[in-house]
Amino acid sequence: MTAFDTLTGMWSAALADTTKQWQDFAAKAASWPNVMETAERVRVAITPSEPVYKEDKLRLLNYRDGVECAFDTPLLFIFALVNRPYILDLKEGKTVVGHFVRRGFDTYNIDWGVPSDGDRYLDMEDYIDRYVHHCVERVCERTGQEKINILGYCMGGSMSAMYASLHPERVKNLILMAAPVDWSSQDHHLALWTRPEYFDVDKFIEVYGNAPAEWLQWSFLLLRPVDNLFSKYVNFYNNMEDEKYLEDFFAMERWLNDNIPVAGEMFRQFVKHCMQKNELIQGKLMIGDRRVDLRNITCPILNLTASNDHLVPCGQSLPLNDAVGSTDKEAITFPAGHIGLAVGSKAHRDMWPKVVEWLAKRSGGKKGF
Amino acid sequence: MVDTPGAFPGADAWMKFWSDAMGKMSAAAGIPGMAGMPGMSATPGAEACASAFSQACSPSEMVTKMQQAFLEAWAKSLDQYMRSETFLAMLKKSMENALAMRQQMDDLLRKTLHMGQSPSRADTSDIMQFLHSFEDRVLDQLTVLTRRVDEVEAAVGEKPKSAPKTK
Repeated sequence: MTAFDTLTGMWSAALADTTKQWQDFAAKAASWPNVMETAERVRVAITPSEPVYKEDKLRLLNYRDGVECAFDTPLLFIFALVNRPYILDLKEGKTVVGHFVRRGFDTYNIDWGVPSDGDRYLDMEDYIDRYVHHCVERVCERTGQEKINILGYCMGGSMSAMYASLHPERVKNLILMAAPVDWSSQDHHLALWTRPEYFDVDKFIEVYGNAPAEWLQWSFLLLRPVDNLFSKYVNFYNNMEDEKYLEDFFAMERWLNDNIPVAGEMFRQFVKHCMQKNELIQGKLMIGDRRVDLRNITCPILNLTASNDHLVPCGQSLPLNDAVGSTDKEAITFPAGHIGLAVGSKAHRDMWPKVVEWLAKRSGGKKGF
Repeated sequence: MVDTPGAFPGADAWMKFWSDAMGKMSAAAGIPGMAGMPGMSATPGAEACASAFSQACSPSEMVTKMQQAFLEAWAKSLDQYMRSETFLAMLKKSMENALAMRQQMDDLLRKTLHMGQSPSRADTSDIMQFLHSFEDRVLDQLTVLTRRVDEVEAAVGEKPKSAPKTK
């Protein structure tokens, strides 16, 4: 076969392929109404819940799904201040909350509410020693238990570790999920960008009051700009006729574009004392007049990390296991990203059932279960 | 990243990105080499190209692969750029400018509102700060009082109902 024959064949193939491309494009254009309808239809926060305690803008939610409690010890979720409460209860098949509720845990979640200008002076002491502590007290009061289980995600995980260190008498088991505690490594973007020589957090909070949601959202997007601003939409175009893909896509978009501001003083303290000075892991962090010493944590700990996490690399979470005083401690590093750990299909199939059983073994079953 | 002497700033990074992108794209397309590209072993002839194009994958599949390869090279290049001193210095400068502009705007608004005898955001913020520190002082005093009541109750033989200190 000569080069001329090959080139002729190539042009015929290209012509056929171009025709197919136009047909595909027409099919995608025709599916647009369905895309819009799916975007309208997608709902998040699927597990029924009711508020059982309110303080300022905070609400403590109790999940009710008609399942009888199988365990004495209740479970409290604490997530990052920048997120809404539905992130761990996104949709059917992608709900972390659902795993625990279906297994029979009396499950609670803290909805932080949206801080306004008037909340700019809320600090770490307010959030950890007041809001979280009051929620824990309320859960203990409702369930008649002295101790509860806590699951903290991302910044909420750091806050959970701080709380467990200040109030070890209230925590029976602690599960941390992509929770940063050690910022000594400077090899990823967020750590570099927030270094004191590049980011004056005092000035930032003085000017803005609270850390604006849009600003936080853009910072997260810029961690992986090509993926978040290009590849994602190329994938969307390629899969826009797939109903399930669309449902997942719009649920995720809702999460990613629905951040809330973080109270100014809390943000300032977290960035300055945790991210810039790395005081938490060194046992130097002060909350009010008390020092946070991670060695005070003696309860069983399960530390979940994601191997492809671009926001909280494993190196920021795993040192916790060496810093605590617990003897029953375990770490699972799952092949996923920061969000995949919470919503990835593989994580829900392979990891979360194991996590639920880990907690079930340590939570004291009720009689008859 | 240090640039070659005499080249415009960022030239080396720019060249590295394109050579990486072209290398990855040609590898994705199955072309054995690209003319003049660093890291490429040979210049492809017409037959080599034709042979590559006539492989099993269709032109659209090849374009998809090349697109993916380009995005990967771009992501890698941006990742390196966003760690560079140049980017970090630019980030710092943009942040300073954004804050300065916002502050000027706030000052202007505050002055305008004050001229009209209206409270500004800064005034509300001052009140909130006052309330917050006032609340702290009251709660601290309550903690002291609770402790003293406990001590008194302990002294008269009653069981103290001590409350943990919370803000």
